[in-house]
Order: sequence, then structure tokens, then C-alpha cells
Amino acid sequence: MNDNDTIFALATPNGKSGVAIIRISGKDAIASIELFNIKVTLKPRYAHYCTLHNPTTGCVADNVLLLYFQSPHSFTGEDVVEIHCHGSKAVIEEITSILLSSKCARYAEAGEFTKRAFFNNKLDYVQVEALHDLIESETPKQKNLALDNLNGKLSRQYTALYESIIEARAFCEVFLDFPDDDLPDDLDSQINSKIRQIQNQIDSLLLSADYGRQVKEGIKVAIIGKPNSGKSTLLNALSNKDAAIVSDIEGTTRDIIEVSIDIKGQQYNFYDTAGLRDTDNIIETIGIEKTKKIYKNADIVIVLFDISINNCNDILNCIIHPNIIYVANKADLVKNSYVSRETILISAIKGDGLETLKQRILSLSLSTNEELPVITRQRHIHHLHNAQDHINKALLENDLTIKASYLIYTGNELLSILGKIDFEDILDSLFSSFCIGK
Amino acid sequence: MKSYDVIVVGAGHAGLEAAIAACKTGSKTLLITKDINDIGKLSCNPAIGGVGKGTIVREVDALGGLMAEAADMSAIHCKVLNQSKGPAVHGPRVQVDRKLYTKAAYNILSKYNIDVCYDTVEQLVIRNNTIVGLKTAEHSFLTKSCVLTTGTFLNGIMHCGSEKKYGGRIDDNSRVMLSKQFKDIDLDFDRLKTGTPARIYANSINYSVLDKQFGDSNIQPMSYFTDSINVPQTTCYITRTNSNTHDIIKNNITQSAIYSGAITSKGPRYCPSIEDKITRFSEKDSHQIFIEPEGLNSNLVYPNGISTSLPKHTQHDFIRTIKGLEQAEIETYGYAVEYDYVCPKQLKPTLETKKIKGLFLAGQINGTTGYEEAAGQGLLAGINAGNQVLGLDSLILNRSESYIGVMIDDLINKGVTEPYRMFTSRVENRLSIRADNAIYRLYNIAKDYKLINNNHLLQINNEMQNLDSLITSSKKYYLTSKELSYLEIPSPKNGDKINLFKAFPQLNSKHYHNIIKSTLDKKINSNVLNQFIITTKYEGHIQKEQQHIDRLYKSKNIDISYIDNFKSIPSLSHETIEKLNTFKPSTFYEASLISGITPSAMITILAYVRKNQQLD
Repeated sequence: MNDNDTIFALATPNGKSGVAIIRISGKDAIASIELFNIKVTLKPRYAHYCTLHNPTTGCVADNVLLLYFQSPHSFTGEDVVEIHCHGSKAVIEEITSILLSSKCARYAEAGEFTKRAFFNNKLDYVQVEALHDLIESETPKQKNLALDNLNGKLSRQYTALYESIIEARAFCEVFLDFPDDDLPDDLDSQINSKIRQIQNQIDSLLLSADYGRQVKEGIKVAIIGKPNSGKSTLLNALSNKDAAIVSDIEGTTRDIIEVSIDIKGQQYNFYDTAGLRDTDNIIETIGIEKTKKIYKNADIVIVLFDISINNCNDILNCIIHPNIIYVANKADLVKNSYVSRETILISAIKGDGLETLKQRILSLSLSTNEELPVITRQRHIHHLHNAQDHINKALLENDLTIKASYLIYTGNELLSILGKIDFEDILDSLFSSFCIGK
Repeated sequence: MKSYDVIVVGAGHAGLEAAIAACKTGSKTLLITKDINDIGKLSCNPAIGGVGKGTIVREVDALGGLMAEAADMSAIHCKVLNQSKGPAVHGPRVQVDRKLYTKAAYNILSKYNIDVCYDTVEQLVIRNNTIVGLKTAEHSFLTKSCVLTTGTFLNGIMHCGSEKKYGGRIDDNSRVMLSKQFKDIDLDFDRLKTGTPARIYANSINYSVLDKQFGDSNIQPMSYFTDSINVPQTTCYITRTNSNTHDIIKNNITQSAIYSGAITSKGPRYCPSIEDKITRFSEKDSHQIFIEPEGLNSNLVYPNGISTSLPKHTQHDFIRTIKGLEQAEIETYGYAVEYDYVCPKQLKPTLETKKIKGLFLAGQINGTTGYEEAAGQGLLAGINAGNQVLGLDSLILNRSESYIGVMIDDLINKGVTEPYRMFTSRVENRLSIRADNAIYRLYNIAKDYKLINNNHLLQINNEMQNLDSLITSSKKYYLTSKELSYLEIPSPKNGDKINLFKAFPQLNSKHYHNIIKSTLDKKINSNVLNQFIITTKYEGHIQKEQQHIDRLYKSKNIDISYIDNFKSIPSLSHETIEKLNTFKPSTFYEASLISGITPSAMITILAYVRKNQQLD
């Protein structure tokens, strides 16, 4: 494979559609399109409606729209031609086989268009990641976050943070390198107040990362309750599909069932768990252990109980979690039911009270300051956690030389995120993990 | 015509070290300087060392240079700066007697088999981009290499108010004509500026009203090889400028050579003239001045902190507003000097010019400031000039092992925009490379390049082994509860045992020797003890520092020197290719330092290199 080759790929999904787009990038992009005996001269940034001919048979291949983006004003930074043809399997096959047989161009490898955009400085590393997220996005929130970051919102935030680290370090260094000069007496406290500001910024970025994870991966909601309290029924009611198996035999749900549900543009991953009770059944015991693990990692826990059965909720009382919603099910089986104010009364089977439950779930979801960018990548979170660790130590350290070292380490974590050091790591992830839609 | 292996031009701090180092390689060496009195002359303040600079002096010492030894032979006020901060930023510094210093330098130089010629160099003889000889006013010499250390004399112009004089130093009007020739051979130049204050007669100062600044009572010599300092010690004094001083300067600021527009080149931001300080920090109503004696028997003092290029009468007036200086009589007025320097990106890490084979440059000619910075470069240039002629390995100091390495790396890769001074903050792993351990960390180089004598090598090696064994055994020795209580260390609550190494930072210094003797049955000298104390304190941090350095420079040493034309790397921009082809970086790291080379471009290069490796 040569990075000098002209490459092409289908930019739209495979299959039948009204229009399909084949994108060609590289110095021979124009030469490739001229193979088709088109009767026009392509003008950059203009749309040309024309006919492609098969050079071997002379027959019409398709009537298409051609767009030409001249280097460097294109996605990849190279000459790019887009063929908007009819979305038929036969048309696409004819065009691509003509391109291939001419040897002007070859099929692009996975992610190769983006790789070229990156190498040609059209995108920075954080933006490459954002592009990947944008293509993967399913909910409006996911889309908006990715688009913000693609437009450089996150890169700017990191750069600003890096600059304040440099400034704090400069305050240390002046103290270390100029012992003779009369410096302000409160320089020490000035340094620490700067470090505290950096600490706050890193903390809020990490908080946004929590939010970002929720947006990107969905908010984890665990449904927990005693056997036969109607957990699976509730899940089915919320998702409008029969995802969980429902029966009235206790212990039906032994595995954990995961269902993604979009509520007001936010993705929620609901986990239907095994009923909590003491049991001798080995398979079920494993299920219950899994349940405990799930609810501990969940963002929200729904504790569900059957209001028609009067019991002291011994097991359910043991659940400790910052975001618990108590839900009393099977309201349709009882008249005059009394529940505490925090408890939501529903009938999963009839669909009563589900809106109230959804509202409560929404209210427990994190929200964020619209001004701040949101972090969704594990890579960033990893470096930010390291940075947080270093900056906390910097604040506690009394030896100014070591304090300055911690500031250097903090700064290096930021540089790593921005792709300014650790080139090898970036190279690895660029070649392995970015299979961005060509 | 006489022929040499190495000719060193200039006998300042770079030149002296270069000549001695070249001589040590076994090269036939000639030193050319205008006057015997210029040998080791301190043109500015009479002090050696300081924060950062002191570390370079210790490194020069560890590599067999003369600066530390000469400083010890003339030290009249010794003080380690920054003692309240960690050992990584301790700055050994001595005030010296000017006359004693030059005498010491001359005496040390005389021990070596170096020819000295008192003359002025007028032309370098270059054939096929190789230095072959040089012409002085009276002689011609053949040479295989040449180290130029001309300081501020390349096109030097001194300014004092509107007065202008050609030369590099106030008492020396000689001009080095090489700048013009350098232009012919297509070396890039720029101009820098530096300055110096007036010199004042000591007997015109009223010391009774000034604050005294004493040296350390426990004197640490600059050189590892000095047993004791035998020169009588004196006191320095501190005074301050006041609002009257500032008013006079402000009222006459337009007559300062810098502010009148006579000087346009850049001076060091961190060593500003008094007019600069007053303009830039207008909110400060007073600036500190150190009154430093020029020598034991000298009637002159150096007022450190008021370098200036104001006219003479203004200097006279403002100095007399200062407390204690009301009756001050001035011997020499302050002045600024503008001079040419060779843009140091044109140098190899050996300090040889890339364009002219055998031509090495060291000191202020490379855009640095300071005696110590000059000495470090001179030493390295001298070794490399000598070794090149003899066909031996050149010496390149690594950034992660020495301050000199950091300095040269910065100079040749980043260039300079103002006179380059050493700072500890330029050093990525300054917790590991310190003034106190220079002799140990450079031991292998000193040994391999035969820079210090065998007895000394043996002594250093012994100490290193003692330290290693002390570290190893102290990590294995767990303190008994009896020992802990004797040492006044609380026993760990969880019943954990604590080893001597870990406990050491908490010990009262009075226990140091006793506990090492009683637990490990070792007797160690103060050098080893000092290294051990610092090691116990810093070990964790030094390891962490190393990890970060490794991470930062993981790709650093990847060889890209084989890439003749960066055009062969696909998808690099035209501008990037041009820059890379101009600078010809030999490693991946060097490429990353070129301004305007983006991270994306770096990754492109790396990808190309990796791909080639796979193909091999």
C-alpha cells in the first residue's frame, strides 16, 4: 500500500438506495473520472450533472452528479471527486470495476480517508476521535457532543488548561531560578491558588467525562427486586418490545438482560436482573451475584416491589446507591394503596405511572453546562485521571522542585491527549482502532 | 609555516577550556589571544557559579576543566544559593578576586603543553569547506581544526549614552574582522546586546549604612578536587535604588542607548539594565543592588544590579542617590555592547559548524551569556576538535545526563532569540542531574575520554561503589525497635518493619554516622553520606522522572538521518519538506524541535520509518 496512491470507496452504506456516493481521493482523482468519457471539465466546488460511459463497451454506465474538491480544500486535503450515482448494486459494481481495471485508483483501506485528513493537517487527533464519535452517534445528544468536538471545542479547552499549567509552573520556576531577586512574599500562596484552579478545571472536565460517558454509552439503569415483582414486565413496558422473558415462575431471569431505550434523546441502558432472594439453585446464585455487581456499577437503580404482597423488604433495604428510585408495581391488583412520597406507583402490565417514572429517571440523569465541552473518550479520561493525581500531589508538596515536577507531569498528560507526545501510541491507535466509514 | 592539530582563538572562559581539553586529547594545540592579560579575564561581574550556572561549573570540573579550580584559588566570598530549597536547585557560587582568578587560570594553563601566541586573528583560511589555516596580523598557521571563541568581539560596538566605540570590552578596542568573512562563507548571523554597570571606588562608599551579606560559614569548594579554600574571605553588601534614583533614570531615559534607538538588538530579559527594570516594572519603587568587591586588595567594587547604557553624567547622578553611594566615585562607566553571534542552529552537537569542516564555535559567539556557559561549550568543542583530528570518537553530551548537554541541545535545535543563560528549569530531569552529583554522573565520560587523572578516577569510583553498597545494604537492613526508639522514629503502627534506607530521611543529622556504623558496620566519607542522604530523599521521584523522560522521548532516538530527501515521505506538506530538508534532523527528536513541524507531520515521519523497518 502506498500513501501516494489514489484511493476510492463507497461513502454510503452497501445496498439498494436512491443515491450512492463513491468518493475518490488522490492526485489521480481527476484522471480516474476522465476514464468515463465525461463531456465536461470539472470546476472545483461545482455540481456537474453528466453521463458516465463504460470505456470498454462504450455504453452508458449511469447518469450521475459529480463534485470536485480541489486540493487542499477537501476533506483529505488531496484532490477529491465524488460520484453521486444511483444506489443500485449493478451501477456501483460497474463503476468500481472500471476504476479498478484502469489502475488509476485502488480501494481505500479502512479509515484511510481520515488517516489522510489527519496526516495532511486537516484534523487534529482529538478531532479524528470526534469524527469517529460523530459517525457512531445514535442519539441527538451524542451527535451534538461529537460535532462540538469536531469543531475544536474540546481541543481549545485542553489547550487553555495546558496554558494555565505552564503559568503555574512559571511561578515556581521564577522562585527556583532567581533566588537573588526580590520577589513578592506571597508567591507561595499565589502558586497554590493557581494549582487549585487547575485542580478545579480538571475536576470539572472529569465530571463532564461522566456525563459524556452517559451520553455516549447510555445511562445504566438497573432494575432490582424480589422474584416475580415484575421487573421483566416493566422492562418490556418501557421498551415496547418483548426483550425479557416474562413468566410467573420465580427466578425466570437468570441472566441479565440489557435493553437500550431512548428517552427524550438520551440513551438509557436498562438491565433486568435476577430476583434478589436467598436460593440454593446454583445458576440462580450466580445470577444474583451478577445483579449485585450490576447495581453497584449502575448510574440509577430502580428498586421494584410488588405492592400486592405485604412484606418487609429485607433484601431490598440493603441496597445502597446514590440514585435509587423506589417503584411499587402491580397497582392494578390493589385498591387504596399507600406508598411514601418518593415511591412511584405503577402498573407495568397496564402501563400506568410509566410517564412519572420516566420523568424521575430524567431528573436523576447528569446534566452539563452547555458552554463546556464534554469528554467521551476513555483515552482522555485515563490521562485526565493521571493529571488529577499529579496536580493533587503538586498541591500537597512542600519541596518546590518536586512541586514543579508534578506540574510538568500534569502538563505532559494534557500534551498526550492533544497528540503532541507519545507519537507511537497515537500511531498504534490510528492504525488499529480507527476504521472510520470510508 | 607552523602547523597545528587544533588552534583555539580567544583565551576567555571558552577558549581556555577548549585549549586544555584539546591538549588532553593529545592534539598539538595553539592558543591565540591578543594579550597575556586577557587570559581568563572576567569582563563582567567577578563571580563564578550560581543557580544552574554552578551546576555547569561542577560538570566542567568533572570533565577535567579548569574553571572550578581557578575559582577556588581566587574565591573571596562563597555561598551556595537556594540552600533553603531542594538540592536539585542548589547553586554553588563564589565571588572571586579578579587578579587572583586570571593568575590561577594562567598558572593552570602553563602546566599544559600548549603554545600561546599573542596576536590578532585576521582571516580564516578555508579550502573546500574545510578549515586549513589562519592568518594573524603577523603570522600564518596551518591547522586541521579551529575553535573560535571570540566572545563579544565579532563586530562589537559599545554604547554609553550617545557615545559609540568599536570593540568587545571597554579596555580593549580591538575588532575581530571575521564577521565579514563569515558572511562570505554564508553563515547566518544575528546581533545581540549585553551590558555591564559602572565600577565604583571602594573607598568612596559609606559601608557603615549598608546591610552586610556574609558568605557561608561552612564553605563548599567549587571543585571536587579542592580540599580547602585558602584565600581570605570578605563580605559583600546590599543596598537599594529609591524613588530619586528612578526619577533621574526616567528623566534621562531617552538618552540611554537602548531607548534612543541606537541599539536595536535583543538583550537578556533576565539580566535587564536598570533602565529596563524601571520601565518594565514601574510598580516597583526599589531594586536590590549587591555591592561586590572586585578583589582582596582592589579598590574597586562591582555594583551588581544596575547595568546601564545611560550617559556618563546620568550614571554619576543616579548612582549618587543610592544609600551608601552618596559620595561614590566612578572608575569606569557602565556600557552596553552589541555584537554578532552565529545562529547556533548551524552547529552540530559537537559544536562543529555544519558548513565548514574543522571549524568549531564556543561561547558567546553562539549566542550564550555567562562565563560558565562559555566554559562548558569550550570544553566540549576542545575535546571534539582534538578527537576529530586524531580520528577518535566525538563526545556528544546527552540532554538527560548533563546541563551542558541541555544547553547545547537547546542551542543547536532551538536557536536563540536572546542571550542564552542556563536555568534549572530548562532541564527536564533536574531532580536527577544536580550540582552535587556531577562528578559521579560524568565519571564514565571522564574515564573514557581520559579527562581526569587515574588517582582521581579511582577515588571517585571508590565513592560510587561505597554509595551503591550503602544503598543496597541499607535497603536490606530492618531497624530493631530498640534502634527505632534510639533514633526517635515511631514504630509503624501496623507492625511493619522499616528499613534503614526508608527511615533515613526522617533522621536527625547527628545520628547519620553512628547508625551507619552500628547497623551496617560501614565508615563512609562526607561525599558518600551526602549522596546517600539525597538518594534516600529523592529516589522515588528520580524514578518517576526517569519514567516520564522515557515516555517523553520514547521515539526520540529513532534514526532518520538516512532520509536524504523528505520528499520521499508521502503526504508531508511542501513547507514541511522544505524545512526538514534544510535542517536535516538526524533523529526523530531533532525533527520535533524544528519550529512549524506539527504533531501530524511527526506521526507521518514515524509511520514512514516504521514501515521501512517492516520492509527490512
